[in-house]
Amino acid sequence: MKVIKQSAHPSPKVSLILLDWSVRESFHLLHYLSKQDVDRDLFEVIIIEYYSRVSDAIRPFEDQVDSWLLLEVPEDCYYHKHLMYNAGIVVAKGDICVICDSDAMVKPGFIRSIITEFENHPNTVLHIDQFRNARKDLYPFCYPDFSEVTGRGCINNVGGKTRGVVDDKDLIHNRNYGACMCARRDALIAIGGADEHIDYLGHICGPYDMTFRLVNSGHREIWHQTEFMYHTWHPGQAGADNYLGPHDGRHVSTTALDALISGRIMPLDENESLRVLRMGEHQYGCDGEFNISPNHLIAWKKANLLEGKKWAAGNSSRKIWHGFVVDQMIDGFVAYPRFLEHPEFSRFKNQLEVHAANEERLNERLDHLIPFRLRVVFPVVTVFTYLSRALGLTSLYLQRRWGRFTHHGTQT
Amino acid sequence: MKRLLNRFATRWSQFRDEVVGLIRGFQLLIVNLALIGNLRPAGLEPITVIVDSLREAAILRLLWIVRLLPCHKILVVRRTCDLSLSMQSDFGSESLLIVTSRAFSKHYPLLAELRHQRRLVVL
Repeated sequence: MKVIKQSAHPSPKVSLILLDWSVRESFHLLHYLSKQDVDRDLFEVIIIEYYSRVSDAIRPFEDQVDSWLLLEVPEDCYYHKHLMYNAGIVVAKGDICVICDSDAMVKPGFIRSIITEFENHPNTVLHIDQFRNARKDLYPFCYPDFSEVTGRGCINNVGGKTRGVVDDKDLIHNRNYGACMCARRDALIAIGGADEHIDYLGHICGPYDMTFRLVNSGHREIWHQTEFMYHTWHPGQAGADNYLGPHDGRHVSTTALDALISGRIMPLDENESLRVLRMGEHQYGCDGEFNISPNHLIAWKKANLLEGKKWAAGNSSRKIWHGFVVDQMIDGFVAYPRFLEHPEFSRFKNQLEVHAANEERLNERLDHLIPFRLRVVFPVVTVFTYLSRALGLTSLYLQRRWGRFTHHGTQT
Repeated sequence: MKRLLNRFATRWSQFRDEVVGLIRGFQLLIVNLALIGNLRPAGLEPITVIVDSLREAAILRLLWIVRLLPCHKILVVRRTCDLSLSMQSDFGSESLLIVTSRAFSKHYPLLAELRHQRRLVVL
């Protein structure tokens, strides 16, 4: 790890953690942070670069950067954002850690809103949603007005609020969990920081892994109702051609969802530096103290993630097969119906758990466990689901087109 | 033209991934429900299943009618307001509450509280 710059702020309230993995073209958030209506000493800005690039995009705003670290991960390794979150948490000096987009716009009251929210509700994890504008003429970033971002081309403005904030149908998919997540540093350390499991490698990741585990540990999740971030279009924002870990089909990590569902608090793979902090051996990270497990540098090698010329996406030690959870163990595979995870049914473990040396043998044995009449139903369910989902999405698409058409009509 | 094809391919793979996820989740629900039905003697406390779509509710009803699944009550929670707070207290006392992981994760701020009750199973 190389330190380009280290924070001189003795005790800021808020630490903003901004990430780069040699891809960012613009760090214009730093411009908006220079316009905040609070004392500059109240917050610090930490830049974490995954590889070794000293980004030219930061240079124009260098006076706004307090700490700047290069993790110096070898170029042949794939990026893992959670490692960067952990590096940020370790070096942060503020009480509140803020993990947010570095290419978004914020209003002058952004930092003040975060501080106020935590003064009023200390035991929370705060998220701030993002207005997103799809207009390509705003790229390269040209410092548009806030009203321009929320106006024509904005895909999620519902009466001055983001669609995610007003939504009550599907919170996880309609809200932008990666836009801005704020939590107390001590709470993040207590849950072991971000999970460095390989399932979060590449595009399928996000601070929601920590949000879910904070909720499991008793924190209240709050979405700010009046403060927002503002994001304009840039190429590659959808993570095309990225390595994808296991996800639910809509790019939300199933490993994180599993944590939420099972009530798990600790990460599957905890960073050593976070563990040291959690055990109370140090309070703050210092130069060269952030540990990167040597095993990660092997497992995350790009060459190990490729199948031919394509990414071997979604490799996970846990799978679902015909309604059974299949875990890969050192000595083979074990499958069990999910309800056995509940204490009330754990007494049936010996009766229903299936072990096998390889996956094929396991699948055969599971086939015998599922009644034939039920297996016949599976293809019917599959066809029915495809058809109904296609109809549902078509109707949603037409509704949105109609909404935009009529909205545009009333404006002109 | 190439861009259009790429866009179509991306959308199709997103759609396919999503539907595969839906199917896996629903298979998990029906297999687990069937196995729970085999384990539990008839006439025991009722089962309430919470799902997030009318499609799943319709299939579950059909499977119950043809006796493939045990008798259960179905609640469809499509919006947060569909699950009223007054009903939550009723769940824990008498019925075994089974909620799909999809419905749980969609409405977790509401349902996370229920998880602490002994009789909530998330599938």
